[in-house]
Amino acid sequence: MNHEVYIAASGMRLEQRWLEQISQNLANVSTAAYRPQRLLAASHDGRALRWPAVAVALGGAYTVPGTGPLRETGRPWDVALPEGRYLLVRTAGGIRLTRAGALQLSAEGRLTDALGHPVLDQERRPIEGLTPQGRLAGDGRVLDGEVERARLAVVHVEDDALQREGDGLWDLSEGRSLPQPEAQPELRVGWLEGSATRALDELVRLIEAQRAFEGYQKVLSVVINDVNRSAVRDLAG
Amino acid sequence: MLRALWSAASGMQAQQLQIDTIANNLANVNTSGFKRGRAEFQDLLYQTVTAPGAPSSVATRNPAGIQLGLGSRPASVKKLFSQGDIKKTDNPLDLVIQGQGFFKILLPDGSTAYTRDGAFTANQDGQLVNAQGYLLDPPITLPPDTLTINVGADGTVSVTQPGQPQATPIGQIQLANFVNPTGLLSLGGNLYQATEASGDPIEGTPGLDGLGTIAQGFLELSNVSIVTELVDLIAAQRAYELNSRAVQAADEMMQRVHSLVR
Repeated sequence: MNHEVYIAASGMRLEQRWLEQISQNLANVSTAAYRPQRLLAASHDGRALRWPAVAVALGGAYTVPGTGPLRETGRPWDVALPEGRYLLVRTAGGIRLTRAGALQLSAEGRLTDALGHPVLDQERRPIEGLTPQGRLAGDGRVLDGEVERARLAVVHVEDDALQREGDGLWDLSEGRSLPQPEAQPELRVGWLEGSATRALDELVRLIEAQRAFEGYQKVLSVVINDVNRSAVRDLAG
Repeated sequence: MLRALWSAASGMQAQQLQIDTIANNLANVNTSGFKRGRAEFQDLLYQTVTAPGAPSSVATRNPAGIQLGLGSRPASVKKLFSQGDIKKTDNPLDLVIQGQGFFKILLPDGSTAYTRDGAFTANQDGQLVNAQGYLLDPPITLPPDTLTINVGADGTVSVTQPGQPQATPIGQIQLANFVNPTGLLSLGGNLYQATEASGDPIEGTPGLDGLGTIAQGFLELSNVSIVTELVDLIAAQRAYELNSRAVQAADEMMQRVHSLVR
C-alpha cells in the first residue's frame, strides 16, 4: 500500500482528537473556572518504520493561559481567585487544587467546595465550627462574626505543574511539590469566575479541524479510488 | 470521535438544565419570598493519553502529557438566599424578615417546614396560617374581638381589644436559621424542609444571634432579577447551539469516512 494513505490517515486521526478537545471545551462553557485545553501536533518521523514518510501525531497539550470572566453574585461564600492561584481541598485521594470558588458550609459548619470536599487552611486542616454568621474576607481570613477562625490556603502554581482530574480539581504532576500558601492572598469575595472557554476561538478551530479533515479525506479518496484503481487497471489491462 | 459526540451531548444536557433553572426563576419572578436557583457545572473526568512526565525520548520527558476530557456534568442547583426587595402592603399580617432566618410552619403531617414568605392570614379559629392554610409555629391565635394587631421587630405579637387602652401581648414569633441554607430541600409552595446537608435548625428570637428583624405590613419579593435571567438565557441558548455545532461536525467527519469506500 502507498504510504500516502498512512500519512493522510494520521492526519485524519489528529483532526478527530482536535475535535474531541474542542467539544470538551465547548461542553464546559458554563463550568465555573474551567480552563480550556489545546492539543499540539508533532511530526512523527516514519524512517524508523522504513518509510520515507513523515506523519503527524499528537505532540502534547497545554492549558490556555488566562482566567474566565468574573461575575458578581453577592453570595458570601463565592470567591474568585487571581490568575495562577488555587485553593486546596482534601479528597479521598489526597490534597487537590481548585479554582472553582462556589464554596458552601456543610451541616456541621465545615467549609467545603461545591462537591463537599473540605477546603483547607494554611496548616492544611479543614476549616470547621462555622455558624450562619461566617464569612470570607478579601485577604483570605475566614471570619465568624468578627472573630478570625482560620486563614484560607491559597497557593500559586504554574500550569505545567498541574494535571486535570475533572470536577474542577487539579492534581500536581509527578515530582512536583505543593508550594507554601500565600501570606496575603487577594481574593474577590461575592464574585465567581466563569469558564475561560472563548466560544469564537473554539468555533474557528472547529471549522479549521473540519476542513483539514475534509482535505485529508480528499487525498485518501484520490489515492484509494483513483490512483490505485487505475494502476491496477492499466497494469492488468 | 465518539468522545466528541458524547462531550458535546453532555454540554447540551448541561445547557438544558441551565435553561430549566432560568425558566423556573422567571416563572417565580412575582412569587413573594422566592429565592432564585443557580445551576453549577463541573468538568467530567479525563482520559490520560500520555501521562505527564512520560518519556518523550531517551533523555527527555513529556512535561505536560495529554489528557482528553469527557464533557461536563451538573454539580448542583444552588438556592441563593440573598434578600429580595421589600414591598409595602399595609396588611397587618404581611410580615417580612429583614436579614437571615425563616418562619416555621407546621405541616398537616406534624413535621416542620420553613419559609421566607410572610403572607399570613387568620383562619376561622383566629390562628395565623400561611397561604396554604398551614399553622405558623409557635401558634398564634387572635382573640375574636381583635381591633388592631401589632408585630414588633423582635416578633412580639400584641392586639388591642375594645375597652382596653393597653395592647395585650398574645405571642412571640420565633425564627429558625441554618448553617447551610443552600442545603434545604424545596417542597414547593415556598416551603423548605431541613435536610442532613442544611443541618439542624437554630431557633431564636428575631433580631438576636444574627437572625433578622421582622417588619409588619411588608412582603419580601422574589430575588429574581429579570435582566440577569434574560442575559443568562441568551448565553445558555448560544452555548446549546455551539455544542450542537460540535455534534454536527463530528457527524460530518464520520460521514466523510464512510464516503471513502465507494
